[in-house]
Amino acid sequence: MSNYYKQPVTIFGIVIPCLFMVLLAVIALYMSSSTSAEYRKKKKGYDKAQLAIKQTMGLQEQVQKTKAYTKEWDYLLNTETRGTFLQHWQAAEEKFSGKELTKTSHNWINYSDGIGKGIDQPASQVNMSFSATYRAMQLALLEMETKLPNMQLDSLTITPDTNSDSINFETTFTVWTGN
Amino acid sequence: MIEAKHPSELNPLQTYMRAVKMAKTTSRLNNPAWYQDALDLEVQVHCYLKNAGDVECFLYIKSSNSFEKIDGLSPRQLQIADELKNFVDRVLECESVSKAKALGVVFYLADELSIAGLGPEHQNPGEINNLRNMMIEDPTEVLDDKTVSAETHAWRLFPYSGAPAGQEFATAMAVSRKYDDVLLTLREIGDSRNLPIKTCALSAPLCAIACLPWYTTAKDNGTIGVFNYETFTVVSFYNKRADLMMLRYLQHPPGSSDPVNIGPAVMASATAFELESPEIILLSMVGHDLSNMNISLQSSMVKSDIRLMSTATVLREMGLPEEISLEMMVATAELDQELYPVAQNATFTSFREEGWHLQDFLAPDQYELDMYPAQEDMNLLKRGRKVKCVAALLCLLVLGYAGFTSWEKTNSRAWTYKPQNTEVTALQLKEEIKRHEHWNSILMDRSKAWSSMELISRLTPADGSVILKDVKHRVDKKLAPKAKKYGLQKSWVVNGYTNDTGLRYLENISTRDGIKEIFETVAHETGSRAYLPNIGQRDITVQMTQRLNPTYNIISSTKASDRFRLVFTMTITQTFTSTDELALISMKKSKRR
Repeated sequence: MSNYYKQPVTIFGIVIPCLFMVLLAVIALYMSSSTSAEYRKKKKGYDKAQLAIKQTMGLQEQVQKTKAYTKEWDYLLNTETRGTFLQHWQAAEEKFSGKELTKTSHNWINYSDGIGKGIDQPASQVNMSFSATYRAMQLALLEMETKLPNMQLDSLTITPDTNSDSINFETTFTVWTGN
Repeated sequence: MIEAKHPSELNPLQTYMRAVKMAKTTSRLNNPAWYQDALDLEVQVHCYLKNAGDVECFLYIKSSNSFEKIDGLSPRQLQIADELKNFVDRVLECESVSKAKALGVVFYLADELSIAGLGPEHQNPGEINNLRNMMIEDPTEVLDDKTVSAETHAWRLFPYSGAPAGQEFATAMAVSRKYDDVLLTLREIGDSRNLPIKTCALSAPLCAIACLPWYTTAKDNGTIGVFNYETFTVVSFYNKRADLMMLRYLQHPPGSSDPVNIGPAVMASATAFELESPEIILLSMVGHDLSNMNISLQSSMVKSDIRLMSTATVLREMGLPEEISLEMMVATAELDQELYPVAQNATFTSFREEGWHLQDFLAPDQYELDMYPAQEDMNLLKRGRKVKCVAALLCLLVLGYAGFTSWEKTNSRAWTYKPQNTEVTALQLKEEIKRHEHWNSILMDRSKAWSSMELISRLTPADGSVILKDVKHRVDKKLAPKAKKYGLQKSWVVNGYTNDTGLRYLENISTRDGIKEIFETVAHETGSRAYLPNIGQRDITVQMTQRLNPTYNIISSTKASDRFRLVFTMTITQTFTSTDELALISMKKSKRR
């Protein structure tokens, strides 16, 4: 029996091809592993981005829903002044007779000593006195407070007018103003 | 065909490539016949070589144990390669071997034999197996005569199992190598046709010796076998157990078919082995008339029973064609030990088990064997292919898996995704939402004068049993410790007049449930959530005190209030905690300072 072939056949016929294939497999697995590692990194970033996009879309949806209000409020706070405030009152007063509603005085201060004090929003305060019937006063206040939602009542004193049938109303409002 | 270079001259890669080439271009990988002995193959050609005349050839089919005489070869044809090719063609054209996958060619060398003694240093029967190999590899080392040539003659060891102590336990037998080239040519024809042609050259006398059990039994006086060939006669001596004690080679004088003085020669040897009147069996293996030899033996061995045997009789009894030789029967037939008891002795057991009589004198030399991968190498190559296939499959699976997963990943949206800066947009949107939430919180309907007046109006019943004198309403912020938002506290201090009817009403609403019901009604009427009493931790308390109206005068009242018997003071307090939806965002600490 020849002894010349066994070793070459074992080495070249089995060992080297198997080693080559093992090497190929190892390289493939290594590359796959590298790709997987890179993929995990990218996936993490992608998921994060997707989450951010989803959140942004949620925010956009939220903003879309509130946009109209915000816009209106922005307009209100940017356009309303003390002058327009008085104009609104005058307009409200005009709907009633002098006997029904008369603003007797008003006084502005540039800050709020009531609700607006210590709040993270600029505000001023206005004291107003009226001589009016209960009904007229309530309607006028309803109109004004609806038109100007930035008015917050600090105090209201209702006392009878000893000289007439009217009622005296002392009001103090905090008026939120724009930044 | 034999490659030009011996594998020792090749590097391992070239050696491997040769093995692969052999596997691809020949049937060595799949046809095990390449590695079988000629006598193990299904189709065999048995050629009997004598000195005179043509070579007698018989086709033998192993599975059917049948012989068929075919055209023989002349001595001249033996030397011509093309004639040998034609011979092989003729054999393969026979109908019974048309699908043969291999051919065994067995030569029976009946034309010559040499016997020589072993060297004095090799007289230990325990070394017989070692000596057998040495006899093949280096006969001069073993033989007594150191002048013999291993190049011109092939030597084999042959044991004397029945040799008495002190006598030779084996002998060396030789045939010339003149048929080496013939057999090599036949093997090369097989190589060129990709058909295994396996050759074997047996010594006809050794086969003849092995056929003793077929025609005799052990005799107490021993047995002597006389085998007559063309130019020589071989005499074998067996003891009472029919174990072989010795062989004698007797050359015939030129032109004679008998050796000279065979009778005295046999008698001398029989006397030496103390065989008194042994049975003598005479066999002519080549068809000679042995009457002279018989006379010579009878005159020397007077008391012996001399049997002149005919090979045809033995073959006939075996059911074999009479024209084949007895040696062919020995080489192909199984010896039934029960039918032929002599076969159980040491000599014939060793023949059967170790094949001493079937030794191939002209076997391919090591150089020729080295040219081809062995069966183990081919099997290794075959297993290697399977291992490679499995490894390749696994490798493919791994590559496929790795490739697919990589492809899947690199083609995913995550892989190709290019990051977009959504942070700025998100920040802007959050800012927008924050602004909205801020405004929404700031502008909530938490403290309105008109809805407060609605509440005040609800405190008096419609029947005029209660009238109000004055009302003081205040809204104050309350900052709980650690709270980030301001809670609120609304208070209404109501002074008025009431009669007994009104008092019952006032007492009703001055309860927790009563005042909550009033607030609930106001909330529904005005749509202001600030008056909903049961949200979160809101709390509403009410306190009422009454006393007699000092100006009470129902008869001559000057003012409307004089007609009411009682004056009352009702204090309503509504509290919103910092967790309430109406709570106000406080200024940051730094700003507050």
